[in-house]
Amino acid sequence: MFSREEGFSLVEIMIVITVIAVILSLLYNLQLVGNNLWTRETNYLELQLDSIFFLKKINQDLREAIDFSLSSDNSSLTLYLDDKEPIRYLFNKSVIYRNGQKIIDFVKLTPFKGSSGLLTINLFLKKGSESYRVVDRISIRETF
Amino acid sequence: MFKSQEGFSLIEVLIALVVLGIIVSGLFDFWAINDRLIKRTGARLQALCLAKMSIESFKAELGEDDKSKSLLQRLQKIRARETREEKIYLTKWYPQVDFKKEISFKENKSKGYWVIVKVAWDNQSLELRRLFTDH
Repeated sequence: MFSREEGFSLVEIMIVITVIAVILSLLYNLQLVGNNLWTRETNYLELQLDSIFFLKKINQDLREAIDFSLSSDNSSLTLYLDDKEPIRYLFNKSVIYRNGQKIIDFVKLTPFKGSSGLLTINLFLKKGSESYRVVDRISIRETF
Repeated sequence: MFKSQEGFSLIEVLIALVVLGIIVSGLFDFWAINDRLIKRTGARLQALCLAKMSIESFKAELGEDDKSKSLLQRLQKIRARETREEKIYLTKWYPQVDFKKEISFKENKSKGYWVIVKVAWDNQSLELRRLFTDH
């Protein structure tokens, strides 16, 4: 009944433990790489979508504007409309506000630059390790 | 209870390893393709904005330009300035993508000129055009 049975030798157990450790480490690394890539791609996509939304909004606003003015440090942009209240864009600590409402985040530098009816928007966004730049130019004149 | 049992043959282990290798490599390929697609969409938006920038410059500057010259001469003057600017700014703004911008004109039945802006990068290109007439 209690006869001695053959078990695993120490070498066999150590080999099994090593194999399990290697497999677990591979799986962990795979999960880590996947997670990093996922975060990077999500951040990059978010920056792109934010840029599209911001550019679309400011393009729409400038098409209606009859003129615009920039503050001396280019952090504030005011668009003057025909019969409506002016629209004010303000860059403050990586956020751009439109009439006091946050419209885009993760902006590194003030994007506004321009004069005489031609506004250049140099939008540089950075989130985590990902950055994205898109430069656009918008004119308010529709003479042609 | 702990009787010795038959294990896997070398062929079986090799097949299992190959299948596992294919699955892992497929997963990496999927991530790489996804990454490339997102980057490509980003580059397309940048290219579109580059083309639009030139059209906007033509729009703004033609309004202010010396009207005594012909429309074509004025367009050519703006194109020269745009090309000069492009050399300075393109690599500064987009160091990772090699954008090439080309501006050409096409006459439209003597009523004006089509300004055609073509932006090319990484075996891809897009074209934006707008008709300008002399008032």
